[in-house]
Amino acid sequence: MDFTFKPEHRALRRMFREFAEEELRPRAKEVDRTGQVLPEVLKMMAELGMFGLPFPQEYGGVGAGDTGYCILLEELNRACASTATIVGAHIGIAAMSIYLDGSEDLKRRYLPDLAAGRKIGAFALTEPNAGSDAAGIQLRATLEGDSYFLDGQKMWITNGPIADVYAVLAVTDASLGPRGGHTCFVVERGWEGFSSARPERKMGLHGSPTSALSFDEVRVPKENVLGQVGMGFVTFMKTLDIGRVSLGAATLGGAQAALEAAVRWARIRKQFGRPLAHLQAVEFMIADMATEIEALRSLVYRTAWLVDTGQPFTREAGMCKLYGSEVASRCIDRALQIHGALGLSRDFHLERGWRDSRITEIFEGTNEIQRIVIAGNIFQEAGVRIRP
Amino acid sequence: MDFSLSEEQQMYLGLFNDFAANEVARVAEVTDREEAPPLELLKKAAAQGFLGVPIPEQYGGAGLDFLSYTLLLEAVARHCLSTAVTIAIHTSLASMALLLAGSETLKERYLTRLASGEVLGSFMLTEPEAGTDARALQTAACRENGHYRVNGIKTWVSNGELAGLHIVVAATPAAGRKDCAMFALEKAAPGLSVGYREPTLGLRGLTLNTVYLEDCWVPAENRFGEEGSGWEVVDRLVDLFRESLAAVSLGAAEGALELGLRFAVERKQFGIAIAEKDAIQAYFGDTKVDIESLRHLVHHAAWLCDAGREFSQEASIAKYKGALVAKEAANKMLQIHGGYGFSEEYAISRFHRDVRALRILGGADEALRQQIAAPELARRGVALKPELY
Amino acid sequence: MKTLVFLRSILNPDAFIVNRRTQQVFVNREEYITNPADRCALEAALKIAGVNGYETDKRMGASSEIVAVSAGPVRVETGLREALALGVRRASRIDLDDLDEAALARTLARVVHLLGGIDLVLLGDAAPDTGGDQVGLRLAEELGWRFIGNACSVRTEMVTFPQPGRLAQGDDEFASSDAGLAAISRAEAVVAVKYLQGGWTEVETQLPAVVTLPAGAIKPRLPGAARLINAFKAKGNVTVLSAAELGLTREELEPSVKVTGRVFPPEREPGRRLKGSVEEIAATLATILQRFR
Repeated sequence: MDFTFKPEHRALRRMFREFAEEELRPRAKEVDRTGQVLPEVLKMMAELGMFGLPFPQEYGGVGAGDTGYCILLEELNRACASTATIVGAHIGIAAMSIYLDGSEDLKRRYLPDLAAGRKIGAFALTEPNAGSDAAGIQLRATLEGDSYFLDGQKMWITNGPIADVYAVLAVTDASLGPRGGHTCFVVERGWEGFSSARPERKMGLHGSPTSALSFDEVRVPKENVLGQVGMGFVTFMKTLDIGRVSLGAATLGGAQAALEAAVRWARIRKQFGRPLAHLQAVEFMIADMATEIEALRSLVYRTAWLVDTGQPFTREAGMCKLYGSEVASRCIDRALQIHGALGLSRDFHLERGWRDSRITEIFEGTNEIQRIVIAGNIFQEAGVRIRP
Repeated sequence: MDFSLSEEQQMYLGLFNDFAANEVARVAEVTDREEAPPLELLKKAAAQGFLGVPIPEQYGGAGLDFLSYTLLLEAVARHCLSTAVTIAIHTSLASMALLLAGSETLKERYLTRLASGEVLGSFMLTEPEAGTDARALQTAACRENGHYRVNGIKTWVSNGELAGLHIVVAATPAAGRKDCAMFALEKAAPGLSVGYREPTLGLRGLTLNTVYLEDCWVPAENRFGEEGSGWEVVDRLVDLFRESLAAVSLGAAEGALELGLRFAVERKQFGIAIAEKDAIQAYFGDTKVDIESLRHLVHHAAWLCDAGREFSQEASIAKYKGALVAKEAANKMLQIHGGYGFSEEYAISRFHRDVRALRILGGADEALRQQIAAPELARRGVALKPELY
Repeated sequence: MKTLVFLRSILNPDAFIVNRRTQQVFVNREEYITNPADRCALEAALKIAGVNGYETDKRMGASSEIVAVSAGPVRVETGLREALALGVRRASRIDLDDLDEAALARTLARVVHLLGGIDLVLLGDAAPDTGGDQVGLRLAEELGWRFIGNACSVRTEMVTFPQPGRLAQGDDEFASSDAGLAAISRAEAVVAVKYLQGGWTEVETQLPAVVTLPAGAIKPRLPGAARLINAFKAKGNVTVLSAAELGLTREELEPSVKVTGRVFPPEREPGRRLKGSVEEIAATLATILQRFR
């Protein structure tokens, strides 16, 4: 077993790290304050090829695979969670759904722009009455002639206010439920009847705009069906699986940043006449953080390897998301504790990471759902089918 | 053992709950959103005598026992932690400092005004180099003819810009770490300036300032406490403050639980209210266990205090446990809210942010753990490292 | 126009600490980076070649070409591949290690001759690991080329130069101005802007030339992800030059200076805060300063 990253992945990591340190970290505080990632920063990222990282070069992507994409999110999230979330939603679930199940025509029409960052993507699944119960969506898609008419609402959509292209899950046949009755569509901003609401006020991730979407009999041409009619739920669940691996990588970056901050502070800050690093309580916290991060790193990159080598990875993806979000929360919390009162100050960066990371235990499938998915996967092997 | 509250305590509990549910609840959100200290609310609290609950009537307080005071803090914290902590600092640290160690002159001059809420109090202990290691403080007080000159910088002073009276803990050059001096400083004292207000993650209605003492002129009679027993008094005050924070934690956990229950009963997924889901019910069960355990710890420590018995250990235990209980409660209840828990439109995220400070304020968890273990070890001849206060 | 950029691989300064008390260097991890000053040189070369922006999809003009060269073991090919991803046309690794600056200059001079057609050599002023800042100057000397050091920006231009000592017909140095003008030529030159004595100075000199840049002179661009992946996946895109190919003898590679030891400046003592009235402080300060006379 070779556990080393390939030279090209190491080179990518170096480039991402330098970019994040130069361009993202210094701006992160302002992003949190203003609620905006500057367009010029997004442009720089697009020019570096970040927006199409995992997709093949033939579609305008970079061909870095899931491993490369995980490295990107790890490095971005280490510096600015809001920016990483914009990219993560754009690549990991929006463009990804088109890449996974889109027809060749759909891919050629949308992937190049998405990969080049000329257009931003969003993934619209959640609704006011359908959160964990994703199968309970109600947005309707009615076929009339050679178009579908979409009517209904979506909620909590990351990139909602800024995206140009939306992968939307709608109900085409209510009687069939998620298996056979849900279809994915690609919808463009600017189509009549479509609108996004103003950004939600959130506890953290201020720079990652999230909003409701409104569909008022939006006409979607048949050519924009994403995947097969009736198989939309499967497409979306497949996409979320891949998204979870990279979310695990993102949380890894956040945890890593917390560890680095904690070590730095423990070296500098003196109490009782010596650096905090000499207090066993601090030493143990750092050791626990480092151990969890190491375990998460192995989990994430092994799962990325499973994805890249075409092996099943649903269970591991759920674990990446579940473990990653909880490790990040624990590590950031420990780092904050080590910093004492300074960790509570908004003049210092730690509390921003603390606020930003909380949502990772909730979106892309709450950790409760992840546990059910993982258990379901295990019990399925044992011949038992469980339901949430 | 009779665990029930007395009739008088019951009656006051009713008053506290009414006040909290009607007055405190109303301003909690705007206090946090605008980071505005709830001055109007504090005036209303003062009018009802709530800013001097444990202070004897002769000094303008309500003359109630400490347990009743914890009931107030708990009730207020159920809705707004900023307000609860503001009251706790004012009463348990500033007012109690004068009550425990102040001269009659000082008590008459200041305690009445504090207890009536005419003036708010602050307690200046922490410094840039003296956090957990409080005894490393460097603010120095030099005696001159009939007065003291105090020099130093105090940080993270709660109620800093609101207080009309500050209690300052300073080092005495002669005694080094072994003793400290306490002073009652009026807001207008020459040489005292309240500086930068720290923007914080939570408790945004609490004002936390840096205070500069530059040749601050204090009349000699404003120094209180006996020579050699400065730290004893400070330790006792910290015990009272810890017990108060434990009560605040209890209220916070209860407030969070209430929000979680309300949400879970309303929110339907998979065809039923999520309150019917096993995992969600387990969260409620865990939180309830934590809350009840904490309640007993808080009441026991308060009861010991009221009985004039040693309660330092119990106060530390209650505070330590309380901070964790509040954290777990807010976190789990936020999780129950799902995506809505992350939205500022729902109150739970405010609780989640507010309770974070409880694990640091009044003594960080890590230091507290060792202090709690200290008596057991001392009994067996093992001393806690002297510097770990 | 062909430019050669010399890239040095150095131990990442973040990866080691100097403990002055024990007079020792502790290497925490073996991590190498391209010398930041050399990266500035590469950026200057890319600008001159008209390579725009991050993604260098545009083909570089036929009139300009960049060659990146490094000396050292296989690991230095990492920096060379990054240079290829940035838009460098050719990358070569000199398979020699631990050369001192004199030997390095000699080696580079051979490379310049071997490659042929090079007009401009760009590299960093100094390398922070050795503190060595002689390579550029020595190289210019070896090649007989002009040299500009400490250039904060670099460009090339057609410039009019007077040709001193080359008069038109007749040796009369007071010949008519027309005759003097005939002796002026236009040539491609490198123009550098340097910070000198509190101001900016523009210096120009005819090609061929060696120009060095200080670290921080220009912000180096980052390579685009696609080109980076391709540069690292490709095989054989870094050519290797051996000492034999360069015609270097053992003597030419011998170090001219032997390092016999290392001493670090002692730790700085904490300062003393002087208290008192202005007169008291002045008096104390005067006493302290007297001791240094």
